[in-house]
Amino acid sequence: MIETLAAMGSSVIFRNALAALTLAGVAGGTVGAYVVTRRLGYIAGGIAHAVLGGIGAAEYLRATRGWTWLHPLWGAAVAAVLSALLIAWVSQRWREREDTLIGLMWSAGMAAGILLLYLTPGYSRDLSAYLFGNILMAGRREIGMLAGLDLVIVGVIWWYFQPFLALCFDPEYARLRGLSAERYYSILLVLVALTVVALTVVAGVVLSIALLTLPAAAAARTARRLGGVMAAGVGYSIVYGAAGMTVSYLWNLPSGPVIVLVNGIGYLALLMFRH
Amino acid sequence: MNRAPVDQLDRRQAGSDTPAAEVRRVTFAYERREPVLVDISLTVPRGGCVTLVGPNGGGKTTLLKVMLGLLSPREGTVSLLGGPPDKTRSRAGYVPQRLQCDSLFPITVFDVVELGLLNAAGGESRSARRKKVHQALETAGIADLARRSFGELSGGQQQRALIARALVSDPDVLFLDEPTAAVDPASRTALLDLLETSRKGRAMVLVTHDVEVVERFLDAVYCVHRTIHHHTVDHMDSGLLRHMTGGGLAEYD
Repeated sequence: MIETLAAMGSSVIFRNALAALTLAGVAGGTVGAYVVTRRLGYIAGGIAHAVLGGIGAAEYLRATRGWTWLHPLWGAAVAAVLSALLIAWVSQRWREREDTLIGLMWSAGMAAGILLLYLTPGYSRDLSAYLFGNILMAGRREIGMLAGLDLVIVGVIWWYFQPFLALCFDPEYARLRGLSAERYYSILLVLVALTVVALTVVAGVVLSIALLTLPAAAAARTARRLGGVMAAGVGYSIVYGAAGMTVSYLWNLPSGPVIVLVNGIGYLALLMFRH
Repeated sequence: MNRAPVDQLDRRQAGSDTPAAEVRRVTFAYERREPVLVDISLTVPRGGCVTLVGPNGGGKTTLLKVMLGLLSPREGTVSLLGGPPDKTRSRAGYVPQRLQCDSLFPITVFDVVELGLLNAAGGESRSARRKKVHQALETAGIADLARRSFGELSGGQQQRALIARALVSDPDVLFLDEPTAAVDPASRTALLDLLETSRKGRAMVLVTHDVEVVERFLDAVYCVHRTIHHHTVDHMDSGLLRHMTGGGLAEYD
């Protein structure tokens, strides 16, 4: 066991995966605090599934147009941000249609992604890497992109912390104080979208929503302030993620599902302990 | 906070010919539904207190939000502190119904009150803002609860925190939506005293079902039930008030 762990620690693949996991955890823990407290889980789920459409489009363009520079994560980011802006726009004008739109994006985005990957000439990779994640595939490029996403996400949250706090606690009062609730809601959903993209690297399109909600939900059980929920959420993300990766390495199991399960067990344990 | 500085009182009284709020022939409906408010007119004088009573669903809260510019009327005009509400409402304090705020949200009492300074003009330093928040907490009698989680507080304490949030920016006019609802009797008396303190020098618009609140803050009483009826203080007695706040409005239409 100790030899296996030592081999794991010295593995470049494992170290890259751990770096990717940590960076994704920073995004997931901070933005997850908003998702949990503002109850944006369903919206995040819709965005996550629409992401597959962007990945499929990027793979298709890479193969048919020779756009080899177009990393699938960029396709994912474009699809996620467009979905977020569309949801924000619809929810501000036709709130009663928001659920329908999310349901449409959820299913149509995924269907488009699967279709585009099917039509991509020479596409031979396993679709499950995108659906359930394969963090062991994370290389320097992915780590660089995750670091960039983190910088944007943490920077925007740091800058707009008070307006976001007002918007999430009491949106009507935020409007009274002269904030454009529509503008800040749109920015918040774009942050959710970028975070979903970051988490897709770790756990894929289907499971990323668990990493966006479970660590933050666990943190919300213990922290009294939003900043505390964010800090604890990042901590839980990294600790649960590292534990999940170790388990997946030791027993040769797929990393994404194991990380999600460890997060789920951690949350339930905390729930029982706090009761 | 209890006593507004002289320049602030001057500011409130300056232009006292301009009402704190003025609603002229306003009709409001949520989207394409039947109007909730029809041909409403009322004036809130500077330093005056207007109480809105009436049955549940009669449109009191909606009228409050129209006056604050949070809802746009289908017809008619609204003026707040001499200007359009969306330009002037940052000089108004608003205490919404307590249950509008998410009690599970991770936020301390201090942070709740500090949100009342959001977008405040002047670019104050962090220490000046903290001082204002502490003053507002003291006025509301909850300085010792500053670090507590908002969700842990009792109904009366939460209400005090929301009043402190409204007072922290030293508003010229204060809007309160059922401030004594779901508050235990012991906290209620203290809360009424706090409202009395908060009123000094500023106009106040109160939505309430509470007869004691109406009696204590009696300047002008408007009964809102889709339309509006003004009741002068001379013709007011406890029986009539009880009837209006309890929903027996039909007899007075």
